[in-house]
Amino acid sequence: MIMKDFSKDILHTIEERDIAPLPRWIFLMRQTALLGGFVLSVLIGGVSVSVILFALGDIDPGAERMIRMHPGPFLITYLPYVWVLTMIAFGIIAYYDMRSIKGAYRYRAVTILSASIVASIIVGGVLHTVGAGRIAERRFADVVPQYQAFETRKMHLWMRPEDGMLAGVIVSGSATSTLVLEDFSGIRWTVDVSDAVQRGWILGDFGERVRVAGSLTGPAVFHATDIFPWTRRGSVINREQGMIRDEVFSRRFPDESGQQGMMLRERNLHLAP
Amino acid sequence: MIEHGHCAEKTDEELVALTLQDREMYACLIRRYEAPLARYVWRISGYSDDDIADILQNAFISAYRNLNDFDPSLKFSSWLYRIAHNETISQHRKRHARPQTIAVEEGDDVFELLASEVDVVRDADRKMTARRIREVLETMDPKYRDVLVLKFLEDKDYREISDILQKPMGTIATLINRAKKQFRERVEAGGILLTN
Repeated sequence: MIMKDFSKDILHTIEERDIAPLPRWIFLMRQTALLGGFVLSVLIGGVSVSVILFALGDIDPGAERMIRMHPGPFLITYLPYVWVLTMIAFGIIAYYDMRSIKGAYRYRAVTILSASIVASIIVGGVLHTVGAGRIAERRFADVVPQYQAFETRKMHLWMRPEDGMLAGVIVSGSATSTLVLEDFSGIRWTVDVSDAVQRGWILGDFGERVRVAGSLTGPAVFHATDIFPWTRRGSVINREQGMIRDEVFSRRFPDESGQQGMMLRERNLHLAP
Repeated sequence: MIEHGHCAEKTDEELVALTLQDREMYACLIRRYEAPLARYVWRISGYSDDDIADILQNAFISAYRNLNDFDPSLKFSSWLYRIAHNETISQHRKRHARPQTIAVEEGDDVFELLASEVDVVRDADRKMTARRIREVLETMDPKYRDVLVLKFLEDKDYREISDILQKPMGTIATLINRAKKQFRERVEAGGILLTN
């Protein structure tokens, strides 16, 4: 087999084409870029996970009956498919980034993929606990007009009185007997909540957003079997809204707010699941 | 030109460092690896001498250009084999086909090694067995042929094969086991007797 003066030929070619070893910093930069791409992909994957957790975390315990009755609309509303796809896409990017990093071929594909997914889940969990999922989702909706925010999807879902779902703002009445509710299209509803099971932290304040499940009993008259706060009890957003509401209510009705708030909180404590 | 004696006692890694200071020192590495690499490329491709010379020239130039990317945690030979392997695969792609040929010399130990690995009873007419085994190898999946060539013809260990093919060692072990199984099945189908 070959070769006569092969080394001479190659050195001659190298000299002729003026080839030189690429500087070390180029390889370092490439590795750094790959590592940066991996970290960025994990971060974006983590944000997606936090949005998914935020949306799934808003599913109410006690709404199982409604979910069973209308699985499609619930799935479309509560499953943030855009973010699920984003999470998968960036999981794949993170995987390919990681695979290109020097020495990563020594690990099995499943190990690298699992590491990327676990890293995204951990980052997503941390972001979720500080409420980043909700913020990211809203910012994304502001920037991308085609994207329908979770809040908007949820409004559409609960604006189906003929299907037994109604949501709106408390205009007047009592959270223990009859409420006047103004839905998001401006229609005022008389809602009988005397038999309703209270699912979560509801103050019954003027301006408070609530959801009710039940049935339509007449024109703009609704009989509620369940009453839910707009956001699930215990969620960051709900706690924030509750605090703001308390403050506003106290300022507007200094004599009543304490009494009514206390009464409803006591009731909530007994009725909440 | 660098004399042979200058290179002999130097390690690959020392020669890499010297080449980065003086291009002429690269001749030592080329001389050290041109024959084994040419044989390896020939074994996995069956290409003509001219084609192999082209592949090797590209491989050595690519290695020289990327010398600063050489990871000293690997063997230099593994790194160079990897470049030559990739260059050969890229040549296959340019030709839109990988030749179904395995180039094995009659004197190669592959038959002995493979025979002992899969318990092939050697025919009285050893030449006949060699021919059949070559035929079997030619029908095998390229991914299996690659690992068999590296393991039995190039005598590389699992770690080196892993570094050359850029696959985890566990995958290499699996590939070798499957390659041996496929080899055995095809040998049996071809009518060569096995010991068990």
